[in-house]
Amino acid sequence: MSIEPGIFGGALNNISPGILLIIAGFVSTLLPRVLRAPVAIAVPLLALLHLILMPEGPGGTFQIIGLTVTTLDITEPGFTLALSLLAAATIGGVFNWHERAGLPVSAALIYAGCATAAVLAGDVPSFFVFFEIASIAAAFLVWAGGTSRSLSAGMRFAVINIFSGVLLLEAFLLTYEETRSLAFFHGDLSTTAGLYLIVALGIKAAFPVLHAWLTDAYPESTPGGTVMLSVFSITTAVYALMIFLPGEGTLTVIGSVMAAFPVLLALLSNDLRRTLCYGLISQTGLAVTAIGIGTPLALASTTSLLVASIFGFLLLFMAIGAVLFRTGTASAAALGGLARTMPWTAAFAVIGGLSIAGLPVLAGGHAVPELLVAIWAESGPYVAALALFGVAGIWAHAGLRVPASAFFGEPRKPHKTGEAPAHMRLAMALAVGACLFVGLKPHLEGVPLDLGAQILHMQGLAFSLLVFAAARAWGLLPRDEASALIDVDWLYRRLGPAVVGRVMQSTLALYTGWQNLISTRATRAIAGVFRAAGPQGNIASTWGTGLSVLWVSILLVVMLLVSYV
Amino acid sequence: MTNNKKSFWSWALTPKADAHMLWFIVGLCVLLLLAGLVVQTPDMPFISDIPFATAVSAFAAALVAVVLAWPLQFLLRRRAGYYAGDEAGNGKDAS
Repeated sequence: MSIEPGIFGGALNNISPGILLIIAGFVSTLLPRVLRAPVAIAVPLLALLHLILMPEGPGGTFQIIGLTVTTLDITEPGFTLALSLLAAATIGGVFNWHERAGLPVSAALIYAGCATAAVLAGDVPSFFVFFEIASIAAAFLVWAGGTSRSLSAGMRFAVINIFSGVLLLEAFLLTYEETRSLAFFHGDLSTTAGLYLIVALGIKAAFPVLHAWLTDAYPESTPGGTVMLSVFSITTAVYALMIFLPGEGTLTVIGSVMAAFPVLLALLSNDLRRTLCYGLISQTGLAVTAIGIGTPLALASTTSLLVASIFGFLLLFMAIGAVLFRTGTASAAALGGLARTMPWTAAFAVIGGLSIAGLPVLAGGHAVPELLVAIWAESGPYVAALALFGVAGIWAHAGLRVPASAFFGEPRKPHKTGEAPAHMRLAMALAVGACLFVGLKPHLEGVPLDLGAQILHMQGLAFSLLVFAAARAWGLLPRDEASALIDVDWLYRRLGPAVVGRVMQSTLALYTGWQNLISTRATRAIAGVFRAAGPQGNIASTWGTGLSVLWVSILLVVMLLVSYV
Repeated sequence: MTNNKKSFWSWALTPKADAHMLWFIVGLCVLLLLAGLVVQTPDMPFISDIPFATAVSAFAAALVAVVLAWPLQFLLRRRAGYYAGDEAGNGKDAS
């Protein structure tokens, strides 16, 4: 990986490239507004060069409370992913050139830096710290949306991610207690630590049922914020699954369900950024399935798919981000026909969709068929069928529906808008270049083209395309309409508050009733005592002289009788 | 580009182009089926054993998705602003 012994005499060799971005993120808030955008491009680019020049192996070690922590270890998958993440951060910086506010620029740099440092981390503590700070920075990126919706979504995002971080910490501490080692380990699902690990990473990687934070929060950020969010967290989480739970059979089942279930939700979602989020989950499901299979071919395919996914989705999120930037909406019900006014963006979106679907020459062209072959060869028919359904679905909604709803068909609402700004088009062009580079690289390196697998994959894409294109042409697909979609987040956004509200109402009613009962009884008792012993009562009241004499006489007679008897 | 009637996009956005595209996809499917018969597929269980397994499975998968989308839209779609408590649907959200 290293092509030079190191710059500055190797002085930077012990500093993770991600740390450069983190420092830049903190410093950027102090810079004049005009310098923030150039910094957001230049620093990831410098970090990229720094990574290329770094020597292989561990580095960046230091002692803390008697433990040796290794912040950096350049391995093959880590290097590939870090390179892709830094390239994506640079492209994201170009896309966000218009951004001058301190919070989104700073949060994006810290977020990208932490994710990069996490995939390059040399041991568990370094990985954990960078992974968790990335989550916190991501929450700030959601809040940068600046609306009440983004504030609420960011809060839910933060709570869920902090919860997952606590579980992850517990898993790591339990493992350390047993092994007394800070090195990466393979989790065992029969232990408590293993269970904590899979739940924590399941939340981070958006497993089925645990996924709602992603589709809830990501679309609420700024156009550029969502672009950045789409890349880093999910890639780091899948990398963590590759490190900690490779070959874990449960992941094969979870991954195949994860690839398939978002398909229908994506077809029904009105927000195109949310549709892309479902596509991202689906694509991640394929990677998780391959990690569950755990063969060297499957794990290598996972890395390839992650890289392809980074650039494919980056391109699609940028295209829809540009639409949102220009029109003020990402609602499918309010778009359509934008290819007339945004032809470049439309073309970039189509290329992004084709790249995700796995068209040869583009980023997914090598990775998706390779991954499908690994899944088909090693798993049973059900997993294979679900994976195929997932691939067809990703193609249908991310590759077809999103570009079709935004750029083709009749405009649902008139938008007097022009093409995306030059910097956004440049960023999208760079992402297309990256897709082409990733797609062509295996062929340039002499990896033979598996024509049979390519044809099988293309058959799958063409036949699912046939169904969706026919259904769309004949009006058989559900209409795009302004609507909210019920997902698992309904449980804590509607059902939870409703149940809590009812419980509080009932509790309040019971408490009020109890209070009323107690106060009524107490009032009556006090009144009774007052009547008996109050100033007007028999005991306290002033008796007449005659009555007193009578009572004294009666008393004397009683005493006389008692003495006599 | 936008008002030029001879431009690609002006043609591509017409219903006539949609119909052409559908026929193009049908042709592509036929070509790929023929290519699948000619080129030997990798040795994979189920996929290699059944003729046109990928094509039929992908077609069926897409059909299932289209058919299921209809009932699910009534179950899962709510008016815009649902989560903001705006049951009348006056919210501006696109969710």
